[in-house]
Amino acid sequence: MATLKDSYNTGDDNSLAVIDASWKGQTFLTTSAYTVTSVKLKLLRVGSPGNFTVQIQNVVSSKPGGTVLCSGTYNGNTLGTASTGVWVEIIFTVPVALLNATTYAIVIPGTGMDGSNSIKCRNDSSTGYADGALQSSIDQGSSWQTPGATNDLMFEIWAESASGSTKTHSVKLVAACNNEIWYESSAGTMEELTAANGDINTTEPVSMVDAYEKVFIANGTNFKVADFGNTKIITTNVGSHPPDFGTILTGGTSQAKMVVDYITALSSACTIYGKRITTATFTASETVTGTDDDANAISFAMTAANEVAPPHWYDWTVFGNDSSSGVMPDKAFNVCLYRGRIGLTRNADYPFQWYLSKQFNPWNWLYAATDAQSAVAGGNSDVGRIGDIVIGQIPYKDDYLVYGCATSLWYLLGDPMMGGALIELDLTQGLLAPNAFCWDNDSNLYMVTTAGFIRIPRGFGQIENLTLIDYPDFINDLAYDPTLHSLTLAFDKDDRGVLITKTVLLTGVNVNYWYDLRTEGLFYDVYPDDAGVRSVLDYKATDPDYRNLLFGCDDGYIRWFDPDSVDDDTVDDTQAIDSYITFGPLPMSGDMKHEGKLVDLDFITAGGAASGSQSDSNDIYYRVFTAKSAEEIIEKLYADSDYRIAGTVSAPGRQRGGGIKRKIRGVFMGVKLGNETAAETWAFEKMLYDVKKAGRLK
Amino acid sequence: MELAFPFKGLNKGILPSEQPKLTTSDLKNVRPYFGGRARGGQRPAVKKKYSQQIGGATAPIVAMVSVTTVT
Repeated sequence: MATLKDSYNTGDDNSLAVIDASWKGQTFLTTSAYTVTSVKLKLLRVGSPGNFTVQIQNVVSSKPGGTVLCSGTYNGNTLGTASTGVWVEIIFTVPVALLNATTYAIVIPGTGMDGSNSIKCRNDSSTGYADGALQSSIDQGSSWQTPGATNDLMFEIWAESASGSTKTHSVKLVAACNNEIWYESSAGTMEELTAANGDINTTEPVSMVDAYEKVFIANGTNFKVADFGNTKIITTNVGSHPPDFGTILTGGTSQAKMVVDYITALSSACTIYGKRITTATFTASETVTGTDDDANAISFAMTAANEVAPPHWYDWTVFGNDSSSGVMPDKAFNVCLYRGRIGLTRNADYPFQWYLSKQFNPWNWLYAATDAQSAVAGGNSDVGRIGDIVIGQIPYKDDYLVYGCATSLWYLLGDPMMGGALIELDLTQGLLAPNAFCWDNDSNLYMVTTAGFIRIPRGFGQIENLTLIDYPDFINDLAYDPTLHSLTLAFDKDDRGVLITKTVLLTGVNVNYWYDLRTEGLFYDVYPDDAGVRSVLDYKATDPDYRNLLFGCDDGYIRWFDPDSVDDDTVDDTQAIDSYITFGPLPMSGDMKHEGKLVDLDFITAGGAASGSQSDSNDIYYRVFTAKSAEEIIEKLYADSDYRIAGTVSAPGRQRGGGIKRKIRGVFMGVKLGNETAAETWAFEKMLYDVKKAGRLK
Repeated sequence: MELAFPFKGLNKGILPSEQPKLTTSDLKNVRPYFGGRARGGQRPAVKKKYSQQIGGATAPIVAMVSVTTVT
């Protein structure tokens, strides 16, 4: 959005013609550095002047110097003819950066105009603009005269934004591993934030949240900030009136400006982090000034070092590290962002407690101030009771914050200091792990709880236990132990499913489940130990090539589901995917007292003819099991032993002579199909089979 | 008789002799969609997305986040 920078726009009492060789101009002095995008002039026309040009030129000896810095054109035929003129805006084709406290000139050439077809500029012939003057040329700008120090054109100089240059919006990936922090310095390239080396302990839980162009980290007693947005300046003595949160500071020499975000101390040596809002930068040793919230003058000298650009790494404390901004909890292992407040929980000393910072201020933890934006702390229980142990925080936009506790689920609706409410969601089940949740793109919430894998429909509809009927022993079989395993959930928007991952902390051995939202089926996965998933992120990268569901894995590599690859990556190699399905128990005779006989078995694999338009399957192995009881079939399928016939189905499609004619008998039958060969994949359409009743079971 | 891929995935809650249609008691590393069609097959591979080994050693990536800036 454009802003008015310098101007002289009242008191016009005359009009001056611009005709042919008779040019007009106006010098002006910039009061800050900015990128000029347009100029407004008060103009009228005579006849049909056609298109005319307006320029910004340099100034030499108080007159236009002839160097055109930028220009724009305007159709003079659209001007009015009223003698009072109208304000019109001439937009420069290419904006140009102007220096602070520098004189420039607006120049209006008369080229192409004559006495009957011209434009006139409104001017003030008496009062005067103090920092420039009207300029007049009769030789097409070769030389200029100043008609009078108090004679000035009506003008306005407009710039696009306070900082001038085009802004760059970027999204960066940040990862914690091996007591280090790494970030994406350019698309697809991760590098270490070296200042963070050894400052966090990744053998303890690490929780990170992005807020205000920074990453806030809770790692027990380690509270840290990775700052990607602020500029840093340093002083050995901030003086008796330090800046406040939100104070605007100005560099006396550079005229750079910043909005203060965080300072490390309220006196003596101090590092100041703030958002610079000018293209000018803070320079070494300059005096920086401002006004604090109590209208006191701020003044300090920078050290002999220029400002430092981000990223920065520093301790996350209250503002100025002073108790006037409250006290943070002494430890926490879980952090989130909700309604502009940073939320902390999982303080081992007060496991039932949650804490929320002041709204829009992650450095203020002063509770119960008489302020609707004040920091607030609480617990999840009925009045008079100690709250349940908080396992994780699950914010949903700015609408509500779910607290997953050990044996119960709660949610905070709205703001806790302004009309919000803490509501019981379910008192019979608790969240199993801090990251055992995800949202899908329909705002449904999925969690793994003590009761199973559940879905809470948007708006807190009736909770559905997705494993209650189809897999009642899901939680028992999962056997999650927080001291031994990590447990995460992630929504895959590309394949429309929820991934549940459980990984052994010490070895990377993993068990995973994919819940397909289209078929509403649960599928079991195993990845190489190296690729055991420890963290997940749906990364909305600036570069579309990196916009994927990402997995932070056990070996320090970031992985994704590649639909065009058929072997998994280990730390330094590839590994074939061992994949299979089973059918059965399938009855062979129609009743339990008789055996049946398999007389025909055939398979149709994916792909049609080889190299056709449809995705081809590679060959598939098959194994056929028979038994007298259904459960015995299940046992044989699990053990993958004692099969009656085995072979390979040639793929793709349906091959001539591919049917299996060998006869086998049993009461129940099971079939296993799969592929475990490197560089191969498979897909399957149908199994065709025929059974006939045989003799009585002996 | 024809049997299609078990699109509805695992079912371990029913009597074994009554295994519901389109379910199975055992499978591994498969998906109900393959090549954009509902015909079932091997799951996509887990592949490295970034060439750098975070942390410079074989150690787990314990947390990830993305941060947005305007500069």
